[in-house]
Amino acid sequence: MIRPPWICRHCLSRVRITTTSRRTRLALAHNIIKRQSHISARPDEDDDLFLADSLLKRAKQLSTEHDVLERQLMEDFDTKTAARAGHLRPVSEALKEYEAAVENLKELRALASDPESDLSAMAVDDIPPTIDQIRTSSAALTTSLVPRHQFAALPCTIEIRPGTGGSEATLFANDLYKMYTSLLGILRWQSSIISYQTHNEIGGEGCSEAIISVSTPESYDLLRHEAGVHRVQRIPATENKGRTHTSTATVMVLPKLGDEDGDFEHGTDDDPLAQLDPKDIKTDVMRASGAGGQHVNRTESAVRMTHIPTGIVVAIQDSRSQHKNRSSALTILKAKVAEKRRKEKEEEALSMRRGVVKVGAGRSDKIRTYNFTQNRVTDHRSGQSNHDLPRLMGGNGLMEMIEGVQEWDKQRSVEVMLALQEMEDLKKKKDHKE
Amino acid sequence: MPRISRGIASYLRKKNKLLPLLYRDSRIPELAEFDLRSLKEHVLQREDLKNSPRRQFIYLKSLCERRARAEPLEHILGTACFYDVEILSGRGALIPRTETESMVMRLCDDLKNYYFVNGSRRNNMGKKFRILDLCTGSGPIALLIAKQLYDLNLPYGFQVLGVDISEPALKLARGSLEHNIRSGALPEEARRDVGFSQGNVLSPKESLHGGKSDVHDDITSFFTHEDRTNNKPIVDVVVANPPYVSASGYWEDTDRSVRLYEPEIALVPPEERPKSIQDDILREDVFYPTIEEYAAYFESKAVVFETGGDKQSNRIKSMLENRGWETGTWKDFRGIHRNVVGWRKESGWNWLPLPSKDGISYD
Repeated sequence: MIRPPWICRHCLSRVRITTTSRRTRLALAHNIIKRQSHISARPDEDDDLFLADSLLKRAKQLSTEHDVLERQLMEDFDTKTAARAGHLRPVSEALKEYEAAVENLKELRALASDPESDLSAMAVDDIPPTIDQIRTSSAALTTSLVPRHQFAALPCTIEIRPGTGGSEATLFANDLYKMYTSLLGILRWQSSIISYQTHNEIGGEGCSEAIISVSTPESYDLLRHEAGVHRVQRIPATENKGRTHTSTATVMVLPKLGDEDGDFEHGTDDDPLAQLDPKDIKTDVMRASGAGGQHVNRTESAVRMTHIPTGIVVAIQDSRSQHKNRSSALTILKAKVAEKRRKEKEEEALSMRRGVVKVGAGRSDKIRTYNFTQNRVTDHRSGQSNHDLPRLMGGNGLMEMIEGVQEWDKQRSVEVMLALQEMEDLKKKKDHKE
Repeated sequence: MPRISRGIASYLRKKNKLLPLLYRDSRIPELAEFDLRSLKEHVLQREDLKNSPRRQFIYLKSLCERRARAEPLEHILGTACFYDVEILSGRGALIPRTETESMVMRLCDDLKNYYFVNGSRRNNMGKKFRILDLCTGSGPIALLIAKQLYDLNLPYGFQVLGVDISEPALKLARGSLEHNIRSGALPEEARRDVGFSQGNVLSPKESLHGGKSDVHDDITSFFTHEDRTNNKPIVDVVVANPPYVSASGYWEDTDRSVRLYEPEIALVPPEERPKSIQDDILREDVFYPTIEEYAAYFESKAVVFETGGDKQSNRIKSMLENRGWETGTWKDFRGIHRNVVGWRKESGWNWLPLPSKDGISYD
């Protein structure tokens, strides 16, 4: 059994006790720690209290880099350096807090162990809050160590397409399109519609494809959580027997790479993942035969670009200038390929530790359900529900939902990072032995 | 012209009853839809028709009927988009092609990435950067280069001159300049920095002032009228998209719409060739050696030509090599050698054939 005094009832109730072998007991205890349960501090047991050395080392490196950058900024201001320093600041601050707390604990323990001192009783009282402080600061430090998403600083494009469910799906895609445009309106983010293809149905206006380009920097960081399959459950307007249908719409959110602002640290032309070999790109215009040049009239401005190794296709007919369409097609293609390559890289790293960390929802899983009959929206990742669907479809309250997912994603990335770190440590140990 | 099959016609009619009209010329459903969208946008912009949907529709239908007679969309809309400048379009000149667009953008990207990279280069020895665009037509090359160079913000500025024989084309070119200044694409200074002048590039008239010819005189006076030296100016780059279609190619390869609505003079070089051109040079190539002579006269560092394809590119390339230029070719997006570039060995412009850094290059 787990020793009762330092686990609260709420946490205990979550643990289904079936066996009492030592190993499962450890696993269960570990599980509780992972869920950030309310464990009260025991003064003398602190194995999992301090951060792993490797993490601490990295935090120290980053913090030193932060100091160097700060000094550079004193001499000569540069926006790129300032941005990098800004990203490192939370790490440096969290590390300072953590170190102070650890130092504090050491002194308190020294005092407490000294029976002759008058302060020992007071010191014993002070130890639990200090340990809590270490816990919070180490959690903050771990979170701040999670590398920012490499495209987080970029603007993005949102693509909405109907999934399964026929015409009802196009109606729902149109609802989603309206929801996102009103969200962008509420946030006052600059956006423009690249493509909006209507698909008129009996029950109202449907949409077979909508692409919104959001030009606000950092928008990808937030909106990337919206990518995935959105499921709707309702009695569609096209239904005459009153049955509830389930349909889906897919939302894709892609970072816009190669923006003219150019001071993004990741993802732009310097990003190795966005580099494409021109030989791998096939460009089609709608009329490919003939001599070209002065021989043919150039009305055809629509462009379709294929990245042959990955099979990703981008079709653009946004502008009347074909060259402009070609360059924007290339930008989107770069983004898509980089996204795919990044995903592959992430998956690869993840699959090695699949046993420890559950793999997050891929593109194939549904992320959110809109249940019109129950007036409810549930996000399957954060488990959050909203019970005012019309308001949410108008863009209100969506922000809170996305923030919930963001929080969930942060937790997940902490787990992934810890797993990766563990893996690296093991590897190093192995190398050391050999 | 083959008739439209019933199936396609009814498919299109179901989508929009004007689509079959637009389908007649291009024969591609997606293009017809794209045309319809552009025309709709154009009609909606008309203020005078704003309150009458019926009149709007009648106007739209009349535009679609014009398109059905193979009239290019650009002529109907009045403008053509040439990357980020708009060029007025009419019967007097060739509609700018996308291949030309790519050529200009690549040249500008390369100038940005390889040439104007540091302060001393940007100063250009304290001189204005000078570009000559021969056979400019409605001026797309000159205007797009100007737009791109304004974005680079060169300390000593630049000058672009477009020369063409056709007065109607130049009217469109000057109109396009004003149009872009009005729309804000080009600044007011463009009236000073960008010029268009009329002249027969191939066989110019004799000079009135004892110069080489009247075209040379016009070029000299445009580039020097500010510093009033009237010495022979140095032109940094000569860019040209001259007529390059052969007489037989005109009848065999060109689109019907091109033959009906675009001037032959912009596509096929004239039959009468100047005496200075040797007899073994093909008719479609006659402009290139002539333009090379201008580049040599004004001591240009580089020339950039658009050509009709692989074979012509090879001929022009060897012609340039014989005249002491280093040469290279650029491919267009279809993989055809569409541009020939030449530079002087001592000029340091050997970056010209390198693959471009941020534009799209297909070599």
